[in-house]
Amino acid sequence: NSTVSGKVTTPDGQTAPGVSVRVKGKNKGTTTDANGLYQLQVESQDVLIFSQVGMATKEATVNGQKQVNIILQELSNQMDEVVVVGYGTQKKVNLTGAIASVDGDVVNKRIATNPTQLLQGRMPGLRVTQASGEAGNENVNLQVRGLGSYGASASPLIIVDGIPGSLTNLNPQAIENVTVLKDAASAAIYGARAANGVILVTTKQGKAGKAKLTYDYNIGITKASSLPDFVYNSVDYMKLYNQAAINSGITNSNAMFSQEMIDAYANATDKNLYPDFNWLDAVFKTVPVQTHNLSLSGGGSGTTYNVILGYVDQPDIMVGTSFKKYNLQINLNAKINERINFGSSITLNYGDRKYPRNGSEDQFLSTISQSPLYGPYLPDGSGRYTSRAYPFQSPNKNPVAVAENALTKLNNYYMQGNLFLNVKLLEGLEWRTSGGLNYSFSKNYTFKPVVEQYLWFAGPNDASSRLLDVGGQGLTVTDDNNVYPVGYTQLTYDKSFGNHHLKVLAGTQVEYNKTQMLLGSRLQFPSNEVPELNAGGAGQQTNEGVTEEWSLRSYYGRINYDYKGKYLLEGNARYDASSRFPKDLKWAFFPSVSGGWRIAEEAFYGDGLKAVMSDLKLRASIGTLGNQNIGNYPYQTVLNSSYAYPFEESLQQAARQEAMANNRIKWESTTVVDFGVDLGFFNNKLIANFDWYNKVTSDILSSSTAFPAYIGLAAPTVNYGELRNRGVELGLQYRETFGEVALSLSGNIQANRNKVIKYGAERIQGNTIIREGLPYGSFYLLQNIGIFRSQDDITNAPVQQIPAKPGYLQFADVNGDHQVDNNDRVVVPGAFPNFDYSFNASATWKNFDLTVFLFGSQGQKIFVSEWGIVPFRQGGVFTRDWMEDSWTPENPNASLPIVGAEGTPAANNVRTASTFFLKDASFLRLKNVQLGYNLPASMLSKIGISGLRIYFAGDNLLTFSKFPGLDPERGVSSGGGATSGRYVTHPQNKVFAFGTSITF
Amino acid sequence: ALSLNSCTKDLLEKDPTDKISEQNFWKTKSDADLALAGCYEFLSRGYNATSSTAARGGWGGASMLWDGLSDDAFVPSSSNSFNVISRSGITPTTGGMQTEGYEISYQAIGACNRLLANIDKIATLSEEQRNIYKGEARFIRAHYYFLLTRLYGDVPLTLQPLGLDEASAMLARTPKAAIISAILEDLDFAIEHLPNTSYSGHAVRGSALGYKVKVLLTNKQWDAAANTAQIIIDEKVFSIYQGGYRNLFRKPGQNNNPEIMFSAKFLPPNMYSPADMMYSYLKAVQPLYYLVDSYTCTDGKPITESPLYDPSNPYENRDPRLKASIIYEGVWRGTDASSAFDPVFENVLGGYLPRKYINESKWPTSYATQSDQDWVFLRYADVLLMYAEAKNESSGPDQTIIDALNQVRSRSDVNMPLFNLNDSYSREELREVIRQERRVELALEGQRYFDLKRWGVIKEVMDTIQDPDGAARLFQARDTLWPVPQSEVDIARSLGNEGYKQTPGF
Repeated sequence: NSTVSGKVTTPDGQTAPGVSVRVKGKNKGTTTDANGLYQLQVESQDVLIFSQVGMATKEATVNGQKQVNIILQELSNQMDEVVVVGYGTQKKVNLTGAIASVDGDVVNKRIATNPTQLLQGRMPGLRVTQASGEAGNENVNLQVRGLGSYGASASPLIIVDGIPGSLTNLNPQAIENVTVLKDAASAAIYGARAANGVILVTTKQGKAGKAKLTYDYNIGITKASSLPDFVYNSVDYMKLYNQAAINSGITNSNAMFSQEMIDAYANATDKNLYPDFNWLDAVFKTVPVQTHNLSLSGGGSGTTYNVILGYVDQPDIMVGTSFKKYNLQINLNAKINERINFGSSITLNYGDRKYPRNGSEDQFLSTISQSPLYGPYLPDGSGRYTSRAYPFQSPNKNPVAVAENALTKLNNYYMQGNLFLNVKLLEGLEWRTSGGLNYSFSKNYTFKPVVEQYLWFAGPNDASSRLLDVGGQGLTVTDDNNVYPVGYTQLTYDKSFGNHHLKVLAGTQVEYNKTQMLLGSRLQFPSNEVPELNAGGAGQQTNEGVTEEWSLRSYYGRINYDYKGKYLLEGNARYDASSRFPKDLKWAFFPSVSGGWRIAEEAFYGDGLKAVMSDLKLRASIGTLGNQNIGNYPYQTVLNSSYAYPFEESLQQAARQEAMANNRIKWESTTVVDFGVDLGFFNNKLIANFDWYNKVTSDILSSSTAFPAYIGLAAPTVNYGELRNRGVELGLQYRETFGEVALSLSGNIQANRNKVIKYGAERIQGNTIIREGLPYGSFYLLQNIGIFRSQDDITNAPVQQIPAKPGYLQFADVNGDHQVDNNDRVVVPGAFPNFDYSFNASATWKNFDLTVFLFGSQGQKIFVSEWGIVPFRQGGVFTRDWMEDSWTPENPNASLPIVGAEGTPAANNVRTASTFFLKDASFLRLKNVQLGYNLPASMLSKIGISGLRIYFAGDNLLTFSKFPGLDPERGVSSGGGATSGRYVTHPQNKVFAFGTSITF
Repeated sequence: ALSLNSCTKDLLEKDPTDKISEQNFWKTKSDADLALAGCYEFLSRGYNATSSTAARGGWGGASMLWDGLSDDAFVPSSSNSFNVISRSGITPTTGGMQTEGYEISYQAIGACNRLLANIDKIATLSEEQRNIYKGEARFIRAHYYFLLTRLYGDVPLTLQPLGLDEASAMLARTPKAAIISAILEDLDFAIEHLPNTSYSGHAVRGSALGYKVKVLLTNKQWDAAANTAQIIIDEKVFSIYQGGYRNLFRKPGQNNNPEIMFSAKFLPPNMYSPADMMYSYLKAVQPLYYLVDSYTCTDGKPITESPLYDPSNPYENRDPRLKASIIYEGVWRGTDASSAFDPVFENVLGGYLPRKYINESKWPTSYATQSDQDWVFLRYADVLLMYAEAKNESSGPDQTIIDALNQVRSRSDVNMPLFNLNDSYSREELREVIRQERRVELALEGQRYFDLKRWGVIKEVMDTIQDPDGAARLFQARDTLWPVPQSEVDIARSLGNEGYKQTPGF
């Protein structure tokens, strides 16, 4: 006999009091004290059993040890775990719809200004695409189960604390939980706007108890995830430039570099005057991003509060761009008496963003269009800006001059808040009323100054060679505001009758939205220093004003029924009207039903089976959802009267119809069928959720119909077309503790197949085609089948669109008419990824914790063009491979075609929309790693601190991809189909962060 | 329940707050004025200087880009569709003017068609008043159909507003001859009903007569063209402006100018022309030496023959219209020496910039420069030259032709040696004289490209032209008629519209 003692803790390092500790097979035991400590007389071979309600039971063999410390895992998927659903909550075990959710703590392992990007890879079925790493403009696209519409908006509805709201404007630290409603059954309660899924965000509420003050600080060293390898050697640049000119038949020696110029750089001793200037280094910087969060929470006598004040200072990796976000979240809950509960959550957000007027993409391409022959400022130290070295060069604007002079200032004030009142009318009958208001106001100052640019070698008295191109001149101030009140009131009745359990919900909701814009502009300013309208001359001023409104009215209801908690049945319905449809077509009905069978609860489900497969549930659902997210006035024929024409010496106002109206439009509808299986293994240590779905959107509201231009009006909105998204989602979670190591692994995979079922006449839009039977907006390109190595190759080949020369790209004559033209374009797969996947591992040991998160996407292709990928676009730099391995008579087997001068057939040949620039954008990236350490409480209590955590976090540390040079992760196409566009995109950020969190 | 219902109704009835609802339109004279201005407004559009750069042009005050397609000028920016088209690079997906020429023309035609279909609803207008509105709308419609036929040849013809019905979506490309007939009918209506006064902004009888001459001439109906021009000459409403050649292209000379017969009007700040910004600041159109060399010496002889020509002082003793139209090295663009033109420093490879349509009081120019110059589509000198050409083609040289030419040459500040019938021209010789006079008189006015096309010489001329950067122009015969937008062909094919095909050769 000996004494064993130890400490029981939870994975996050908290002590676990009241845990039962028993000796297996013997009637002997104890419970842990307030500090989680226990002591027990045992024999050497005894097995200890640690158990507590809500925690996974754990066994440990004493094996002669004096001390046995245990970490107890919380039970996942346990009976009373609750998830947020539309207009209420639901026990997880009773769910019949397809729902995924994630906790704020999990997503906040990554550090981000915009919480939307944190959802990436966390919930199967939700595809998150971050278009860029630009500070304050990450442009995150959310898609639930594929592209659901090509006419109306395909974005999911975002509900914050029960009211439509904004996720972007939240402080990530304020998020308690995020839930995605994916199928019709779970989302139909939001019928009108749920066709593309619903994302429910719950913010953190206070917990009763002593006030807890926490301060978080984080600093992230941020740089571009990747940048191309451009040639920034001036002599190499000039030589290839001349080669390109000669390749293109340019003979004017004034249009290329003379030997004298090349020699000046080659033999230069003054590298200040004859530099090899690296423009990427001048524009892309490594910057520190700092985040502060101060939170206070607690409560007593029925009232709880949680207040978080957040501040992010995010200078961008590109000069000129910056973002500051100030956020205040105030959540209050008050229990007035046993029956009445009252509360509110309010978000106040202020964003202060500065950026080049034309955005980061324009700034990036301007950077690439500069040659290494000169820097941004003249070499004479005068501070004057450079336009170029030699007059015949034609680069875009000087990006450094733009960053220092021509920025847009965007101040955005945002408020979302709601109040609710819950009244228990009778036992089981609850009345809830909630009203919310979203209000945003933004003020945009775009000042286009007059900035002189000089030739690099200009003398002190030389005139400027051109003005900085800032797209005009003068100041434009734009005010935008949006008021969006929403209110609902509902009754819930929840009652069990023996083995029968019934829950009924009925409610009504009203929404109204009004957007207003007011713009003022003046052209002439006495200097660049007074950027307010009244500083400008009143002679040349303009103004604009726009107001738009829409509204919705709805009735909704839900019935849940279960028998013995084994057979589950749910019905949802919503009856909606929208101001966007004509009188007799405003109202529409969106019903859904779903059912579940918890097989593991059946008597026939034996204990033997249960020991292995501890849970088994089947789910099925079907239902219809609506979409009305189109322009505000699509059915009214209107005349635009904002034009004028001067017949004499005064303006006559003008009016004309510009778009065809269609007064017979109605709701777009989406029908979703879903089958799901939820499995638990080994006492639910391993959980698997699988869903198969078929989502069909019909009567698509679209104006991208076959509408000939000769009609002279913009195309009308019509209900036509059908899209199908069919796919599978699998989520796996595994948790186990090994001694003092607690391990949690999870993985998600989602695969969606998009198909156009009905579109009518096929439509070619640029490089993509919309054709029935294909994914929406599939690539439609000429096929590049190599390079003409010699004149013989040309002679033997079909006639090319641009008369071919050796070194040109060869395109396939698909239809065999011996002539390559637009009829030879072919459909190329790759518009959408085949599947996305993610993997998350976290482990804790003693006071250490480690999280690793990987995210990948497979099968998507992107057509890239212009600056950075095509050499000499606007005289810009080229990647090293063009210098080393492009076609010349001496290098006929080169991997790249001949280099041409801009605007010539040689360059136009390369720029032909073909598979040559169609790049594989599959990637797997180490999205995040976080290593944390919680200082022992014993050490901290002496200095009055109850918790101190320090951590290191890294974001986008590694990327595996075939995509050349830049980040493969980029925005989705605005048109909805394949991504086709400029190569240059603000890259994602690679972040090395260090942070600390102190709780008092 | 009642109050809830009415509340619901109001909540869900949302109409635009900043646009006119069509239900309330076509009631008053003011509506007719709004709609008519809506038709004219297309003339001045095409370039929004506050939000764009040099990528577009060809409309309104940016019409000089058309000369970049001829042997007279060069459009240096390869991001401009005119540059691409000038180098035989036009395809169904070129974009820029290749698609806008089609789309904007039909938007304007649609606006005219809607006015024509609805104007009779306005009961307060007399028939005479209505006919004036109709005449102007039909004139504008003819202007755009004429552009369409010159660019694309056969195009869909509609004289009614088109709708959502299937028939509207299934129009064929109507043969050009039928469209020309429709244009002539529109112009004849305008000639009959528009006031026979001088021009001040609204199209008048003379505007329509002048356009009719141009349409007939373009379609080689020489007799009819000459006779129509004769009417204008006889009616004496218009005359050669004696206030200075350059002032035809600048305010205030353009106000109540007796020579201008139709133009796109501008009035800064709200409706301004990009002319100075585009031609002086952006240098979007650069005259070529072929044009410069074509100006004769003051003795009327070409520079290759005239003893007055001094290669070391090449711009002296030349037709005064050269200095009035073109800027060469050293010319002041403003009022002092700092505005002197330096082609190397400014990267103007050819060495020339336009002076026509440039107002030196706007120097130095920038993106903010707002011009007020109206773009002249038709002037009396053009009518005289068209008369000369049509008459020569129809009946050969005669004194009336010589008189017409001399009237143009004897403008007070031009004052070039007069032609004399006694010099016994053959029809062919006189044809060359007329064409040469047309080239210099109308240089950089957006005419040359269309003249070369209608004379059938565009390929032989352009194949000899080299741009200042050394690139050869070359002209593919198929480019005489442009491809319509690829999207339009794709739509037609998808709808099964057999009558709508791409322009031959594309």
